Amino acid sequence: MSSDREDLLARIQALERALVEAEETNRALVSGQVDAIVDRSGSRALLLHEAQAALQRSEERYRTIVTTAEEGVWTVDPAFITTFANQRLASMLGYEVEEMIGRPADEFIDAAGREAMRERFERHTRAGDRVRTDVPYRRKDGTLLWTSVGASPLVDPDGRFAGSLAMLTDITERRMAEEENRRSEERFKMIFQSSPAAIGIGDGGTIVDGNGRYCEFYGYDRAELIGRNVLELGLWVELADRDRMLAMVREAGSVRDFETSFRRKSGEVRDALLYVEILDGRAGGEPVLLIMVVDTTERKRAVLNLRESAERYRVLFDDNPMPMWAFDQETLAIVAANEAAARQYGYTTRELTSKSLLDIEPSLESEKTAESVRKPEQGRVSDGPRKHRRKDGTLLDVDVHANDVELKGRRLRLAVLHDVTKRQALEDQLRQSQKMEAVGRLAGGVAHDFNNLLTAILGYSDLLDVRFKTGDSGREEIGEIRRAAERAASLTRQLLAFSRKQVLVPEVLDIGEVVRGLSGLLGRLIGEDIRIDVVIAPDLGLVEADPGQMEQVVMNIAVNARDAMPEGGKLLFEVRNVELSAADAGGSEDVPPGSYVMIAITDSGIGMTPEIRKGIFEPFFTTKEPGKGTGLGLSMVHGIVHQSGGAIRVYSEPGHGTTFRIYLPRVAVPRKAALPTPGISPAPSRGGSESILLVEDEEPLRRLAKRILDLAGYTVLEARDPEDAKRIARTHDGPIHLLLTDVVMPGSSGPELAASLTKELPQMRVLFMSGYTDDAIVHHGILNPGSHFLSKPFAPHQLVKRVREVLARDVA
Amino acid sequence: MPSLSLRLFVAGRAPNSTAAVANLEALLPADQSVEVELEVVDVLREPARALADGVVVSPTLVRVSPLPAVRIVGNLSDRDAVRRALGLPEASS
Repeated sequence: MSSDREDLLARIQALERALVEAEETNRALVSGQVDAIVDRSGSRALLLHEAQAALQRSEERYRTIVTTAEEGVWTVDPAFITTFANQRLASMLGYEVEEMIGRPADEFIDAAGREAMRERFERHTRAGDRVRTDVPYRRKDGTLLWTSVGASPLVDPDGRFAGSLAMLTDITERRMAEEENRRSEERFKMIFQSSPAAIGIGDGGTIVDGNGRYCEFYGYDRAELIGRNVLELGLWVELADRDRMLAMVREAGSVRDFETSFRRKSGEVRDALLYVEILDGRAGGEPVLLIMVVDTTERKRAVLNLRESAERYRVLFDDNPMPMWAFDQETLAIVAANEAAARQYGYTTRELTSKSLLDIEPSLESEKTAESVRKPEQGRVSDGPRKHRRKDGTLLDVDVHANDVELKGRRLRLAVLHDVTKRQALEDQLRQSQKMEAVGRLAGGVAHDFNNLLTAILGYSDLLDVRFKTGDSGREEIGEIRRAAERAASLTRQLLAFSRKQVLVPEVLDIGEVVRGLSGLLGRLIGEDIRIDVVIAPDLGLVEADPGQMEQVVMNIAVNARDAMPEGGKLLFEVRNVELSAADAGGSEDVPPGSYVMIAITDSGIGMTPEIRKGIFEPFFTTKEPGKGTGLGLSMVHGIVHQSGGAIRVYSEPGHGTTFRIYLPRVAVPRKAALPTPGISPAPSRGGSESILLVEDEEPLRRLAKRILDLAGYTVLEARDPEDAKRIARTHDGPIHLLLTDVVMPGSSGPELAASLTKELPQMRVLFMSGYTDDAIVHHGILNPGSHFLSKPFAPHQLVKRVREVLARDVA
Repeated sequence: MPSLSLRLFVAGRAPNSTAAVANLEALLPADQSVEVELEVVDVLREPARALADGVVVSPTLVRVSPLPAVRIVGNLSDRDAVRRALGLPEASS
């Protein structure tokens, strides 16, 4: 036991010693008698004064850092109460350090984020985490202080949470700058996205971004476009354009109003103007570009349309061959007129567009007519012909086809102005010639009957005359009857000549006689205020022509001459022989050199301009007012003269009268044989004993003819009509030597009868007689050229002579 | 003749260590009456030896023998107390 006690005692003493040692160590430490401390691990010993110095230095450094730091330093206890704040922190917040100590740290945080911030700090720091975040504080003066806060938990030696240490950096400026940046970015984004212009960003051909309009322009979804390459997508229609644009951007830094075109997703090509800015220029390679695309397709199309419509207007209106204008329905002012209209009215288009419709259409000057034009009408209006006045005062007949149009709020009438003056004249002429035709037909018909009657009167007068002895007083009276009948026959002939229905049989004749024979009629036709002189050369040659036609030639020219002398004047007829040399003929084809009889008809009238002179022989050419001329007169003259182998020349000057010269070739025939002039005492004609079949529906004429032929010794078989004639021909025993027949008869015609009978009686001769031979009969081949023909009225001796001639002629 | 084995742990030439060496030499008897064996150990060089003797600070004087071991911490300026602790006779004054 004692050993245990000793042992225990020893242990107590050891402990006491250890305690003393520890106390002494402590005392030595406290009194500064310790130089070094051995590390517990025994790996090293630390000199105590160095450690202290180091500690001191570090503390000093720490203090310096804390007090002079750019950052604010803030410590709080677990209840978030401020336990420390450095000067910097206080200045940042605008407080004195002393004011801050003891105040909850969250009080300084901007109210908006206070709770969340405090909660966050506490949670993290209690968990031992570091927190770094931006915190908005309110300065003492109320302004905002943005700080970047790094907070660490503080732990006491026992490892318990003892609060937080926070380092604060003033980031207000940076934050503001960032905020501004963000805001401007947002603004840019908004502008970019909502811009009505198509804007994209391109980087080396890659579409980095593009707003809604940009995508819309190309017709792609955004996703299809962003990140894709423009070349790959084939957006550029002309790759050369892109190269050119890039070159311009590189050179000038930007591009404005660059015209090009792009292909949309659908393949449609659209025109565009490009505006390009460099966003980020990089050395080498393509810069990053901000590209604005303005779709100009519609505008271009509109411009094109406008150009086209102007062109169309020019082509359709200005260049339209139909005269057109448009006038205001209210004011009747002409607001537009085309070239053709200007030509038609003799104005320039400028002059015309300063005129009123009243200037053009004189009839509108009456208010009532003007009102009718103003009256609103629906749709199209066709009207005319209306009388319109040219600049030179001449009047035009114009058919107006109009259409109401509205232009810029003005009610206009667009009118097409069809000049129908010529057509109107032609219509008038046609009417006139139809009238003449009708008159001619009537006259021809009447003359036919007249001729039959006159033939009878003349015939019986002659027959009666033969019975009287010379000196018998009865002969005188018969002569009167005869002269009266002859005058009637002459009038009938003139009537036929005038209506161009005379017999067309050329004969050798003395033109002088024709002219002389006409002069009486001309005197009546032409009027008293015109003096007529007729000069006929005595040794006049003969010509071969139809006397009736020649009469008409002279009459037509004379009538024209009369019309050229409305105030009266002189008319000279001259007939003489002329010899034309080659020089005289002037190389003209229609007048070969040779001997001619010339008829010159000269008036002292108004004369003609070269233009009119050129046209006078053309059918339907007339300078006369409608209804006054047919326009056929001189063309017939021309035709007749040429048909007769002659030529016609006209010499005229305005104000100096006109001369027509007609050249008819002379024929070498004895003068005597030419003119079978009816006479009271004809040379007795030789008769004969042949049988003649006489066919004539006019009984007096038939009886006369029979009488004459009986007297001449012929055997005459009488027939009333072709049927009668055929019957007689069949039943007659003896030969029939001659068929003497009228041309126009009921039932069948003379030529038909002749054709029928000559088949059975080929030896039979045929002589036609007629008081009226229509052109148509000859032209339609009813009368063969070369047929023997006797025109009514005829004198008995003419009949006898003609019959003898036909019978005596050898059979062809 | 009594013998005494001492071991003085010092920290290089630190002031208290230098003072401890000087104080110890001064207090040891000059009459050779006691055979003294003294070893000076620099803890800066040989920290492990300090720990082996249970020494945590320097300067510390350890009476290695006779046992029990005695540790005296500090610069040994209180020489009497040191003598007492070491069991040396009081200095005659």
